[in-house]
Amino acid sequence: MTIAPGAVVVDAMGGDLAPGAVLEGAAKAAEQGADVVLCGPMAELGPTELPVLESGGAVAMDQPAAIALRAVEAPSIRVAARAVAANPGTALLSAGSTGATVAAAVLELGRLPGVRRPPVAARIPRPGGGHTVLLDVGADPDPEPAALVGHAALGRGFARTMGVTNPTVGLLNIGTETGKGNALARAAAAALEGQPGFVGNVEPGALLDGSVDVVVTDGFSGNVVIKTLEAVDTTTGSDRDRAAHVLGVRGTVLVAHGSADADQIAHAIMLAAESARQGMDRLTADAFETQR
Amino acid sequence: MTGDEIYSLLAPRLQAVLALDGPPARQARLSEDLRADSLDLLEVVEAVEADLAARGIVIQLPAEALQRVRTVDDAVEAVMENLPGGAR
Repeated sequence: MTIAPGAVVVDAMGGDLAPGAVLEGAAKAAEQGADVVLCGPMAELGPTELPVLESGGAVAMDQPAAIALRAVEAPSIRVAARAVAANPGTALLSAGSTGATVAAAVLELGRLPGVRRPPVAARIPRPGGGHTVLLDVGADPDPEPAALVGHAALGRGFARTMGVTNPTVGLLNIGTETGKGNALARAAAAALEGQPGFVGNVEPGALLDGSVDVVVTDGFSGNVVIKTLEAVDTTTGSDRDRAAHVLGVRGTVLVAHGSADADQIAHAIMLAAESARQGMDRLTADAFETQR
Repeated sequence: MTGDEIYSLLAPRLQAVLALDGPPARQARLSEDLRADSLDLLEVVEAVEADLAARGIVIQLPAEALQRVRTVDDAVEAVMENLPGGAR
């Protein structure tokens, strides 16, 4: 199947409410003008007017993500990632296992040079307008301290695609003073010292007050932060994204919440389509390469 | 194929994926010594499967075999156990 640039390949089996909510959300996005291709077993998806890329089922959530990719014949997330790799300018979206999505993206699309574990980056809306980039929000809960140097470079590249010319970077911590934090934070701060745009430790409030453009942290802390912000949605406003970008892979890849309903899936698809049209992956990669 | 031949395919792939300074020892533990996770292992295994396919040997390690791999030697054994009869 040839898939046109700008199209979004959606893992129809990914998510707590899949495939029903995914199909409904995909149909809503298509009504709003998105070019959507579903990926899943046609027998399980049922009737749909959208094009379907035939695949196996979803990966299990109770196994290591990469191993789970092998436990299912032609899993939907892997077939979808392969389709995106074969059709430049398209985007991948899944509400399934973040680990499996990152693994499928690495195996099918490949990583940028110097990126060992692609992080997931979320745009946090500020009450005063604009966004702060937060990464990693869930790909790697236990990174090496040096990995946060790569996160910072990718985050700056991503912020540049949002119009920030010289993005500043803070390390999420429990205080701004040098030497604050746990072992990872202290080691990461040392590794980040002198890196382009790095301004030092920042407290969580920096995500909302606009004092930095990018905040880096490990995938566990980042996931806790973003879920906390989402739980107090009145603080972050209703314009928050319903999906986050996987950075450091050679393609546009987004992950949505596992619990996403049809409206949230539709929103996520529209964001993925916009990212694909803008060539967000290429722009981020170019900006990343420039500062390496 | 012998264990040494399989190791000669695995070692450079492990070195590349994990950005190691040199080839890993056969006794090295993937997680504790090499800081490798399941995605690293799958990347390496898929690369070795491609290397073998280029030699006309088609294998695909099942998930159960990958889950049992703890050391480099375990990976060698897993590949050997899954070789078709004529390639052993």
